[in-house]
Amino acid sequence: MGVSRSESTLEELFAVLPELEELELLRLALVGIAIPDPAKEWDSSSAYTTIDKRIVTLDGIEKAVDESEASLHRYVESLFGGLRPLIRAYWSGDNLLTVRHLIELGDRQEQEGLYRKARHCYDVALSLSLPLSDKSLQILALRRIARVAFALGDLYQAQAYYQRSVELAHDSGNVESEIIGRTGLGNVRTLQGQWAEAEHFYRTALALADGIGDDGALQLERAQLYNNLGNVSTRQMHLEEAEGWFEKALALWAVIPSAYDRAVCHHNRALLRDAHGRRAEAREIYLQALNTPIPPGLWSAIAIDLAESHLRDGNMSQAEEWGRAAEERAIAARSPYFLGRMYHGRGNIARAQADEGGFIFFEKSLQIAREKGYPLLEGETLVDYALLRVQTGGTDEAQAYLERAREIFRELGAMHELARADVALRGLRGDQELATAS
Amino acid sequence: MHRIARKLVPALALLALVAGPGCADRGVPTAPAPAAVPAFGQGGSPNLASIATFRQRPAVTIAWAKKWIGPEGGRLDFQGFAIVVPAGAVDRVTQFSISLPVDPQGSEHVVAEFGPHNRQFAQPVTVELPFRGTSIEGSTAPTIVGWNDLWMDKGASRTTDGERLTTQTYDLTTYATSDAVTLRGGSITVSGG
Repeated sequence: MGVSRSESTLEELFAVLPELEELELLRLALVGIAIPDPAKEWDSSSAYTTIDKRIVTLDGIEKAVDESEASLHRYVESLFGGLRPLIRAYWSGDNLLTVRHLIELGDRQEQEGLYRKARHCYDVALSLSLPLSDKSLQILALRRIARVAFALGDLYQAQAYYQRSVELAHDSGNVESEIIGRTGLGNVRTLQGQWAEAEHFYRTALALADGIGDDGALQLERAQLYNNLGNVSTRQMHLEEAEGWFEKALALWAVIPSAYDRAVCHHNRALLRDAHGRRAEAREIYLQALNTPIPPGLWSAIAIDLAESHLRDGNMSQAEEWGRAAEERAIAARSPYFLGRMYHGRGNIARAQADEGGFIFFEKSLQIAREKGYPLLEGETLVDYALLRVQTGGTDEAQAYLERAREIFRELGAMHELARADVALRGLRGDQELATAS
Repeated sequence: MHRIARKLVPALALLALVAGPGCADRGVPTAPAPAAVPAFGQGGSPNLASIATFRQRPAVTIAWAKKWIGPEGGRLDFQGFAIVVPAGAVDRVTQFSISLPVDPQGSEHVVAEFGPHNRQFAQPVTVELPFRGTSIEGSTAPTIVGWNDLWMDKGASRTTDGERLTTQTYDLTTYATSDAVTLRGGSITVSGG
């Protein structure tokens, strides 16, 4: 006979939950309510336990079961609500409308964060759209698949589907779709840290938009491109240029109602201020972004940057506070990139406290970066992880991490990140000359 | 023993000859002077190339200060450098120290060794280093770096009067100021697509 339990770790609980698709919402809800084990707060290493080591209580589980059941009912209702017009469109022989309804059905899943289910809908939409002479829905389905792949961290697939959508849009003279597809291609490169290539895609997209004229058309797409160009300019330390792009973006976000894009603009402006060393000003802008109604993943990404900005000013307690808040939202968001980036930031906060618990955070970040193909995140994490290794006497490991980070940055062409790894490696080797050329 | 401290033991003998009670504390410590006095500029010790310098080298006749601070907290000031210990950071009276380099190359730099070493505090203590009148005064991104086999960026903000840079830490080592900007990317967020 087993011993009754007062709580369980997620790892233990998930081991007894069968892998049924219907229980996916419950699993996500359980991740959302799990907390760090308060009984182990005095154990210095337990403060850094990650998701699988978090605990849930019976009350919490029962509440999550009730909520998941209700949520599943709502989901089924919404699913079948979207299915009926789809079947009617199919029955009437309107293939265009059928595909449109399939994409809408996918959009409903995507809005709920159910990316894999959304992908199924878009896949069917794509295959049904292939024989249609009007290519606009095929292009849209390709782009939706790319967007879902991007959200899931499958950047190679995202790139392939965006690329196909751009080619098809170009061949069919659909300029708007080509602009959006090129923006997506730029976004994939940005997430990989390939700044120059990303900028190329954004600039060609903007040139297409400019070719249409500046009479108010494609305002949203333009403003999004200004955001992204400001971001990649900052990353390449073209700071004045970045300022110019953000000014243009802000002028448009004042009249375009997109909270998400406005927050992205504020976030990237804050990073620009940070790059200037104007950190107090940066923090005000981070807070502006965080006060916008945005999804938890984006909120988490901004909060961890705010935490690191506090860290750079030596405000340890505020850094910890924002780091913890970022962790809560990143877990709720279920976005692999934001989760990995949050672990990287929390590792830095732990490192600043000379806390070896930071190892777990950095390892988690590396695991996600490698599994999902975020080389920039992997390289940046390796550099900071190396510094923690040095602090704990692991000089050889630190050197290996820095060398690997240099390889990654060199492959990406991320020169400023490469310079940072070089500085650290040079310091570690006692000023030996480094061959920075490839 | 801390790596720097190991290298600096020979310097102690010389220091012992010149060092008087240059301490912020009025009382004379019963414990020996801290064994962690920097010998900057010696082989293997912190590389000072990227470290800020004083516009006018301070006239230092006594190279270190020490003070006993207990659980109620306290502050040690010395030549523009300071340690601020909040209440609860230590559970018993502990000797804090600030030591400056005495060699000509080292003493022109904004660098000091803070003690005690190998001690994890229950609350973060604040270290302050001179900013006004140093080579990085006009910098947009000044920072405090801590030595741990290589210089590590500890972050820094300016004190309200702009005189010093300050940061918090759970342990003490050698700290210096620098404006070597370390670009850190931050999270990637994108629009559209």
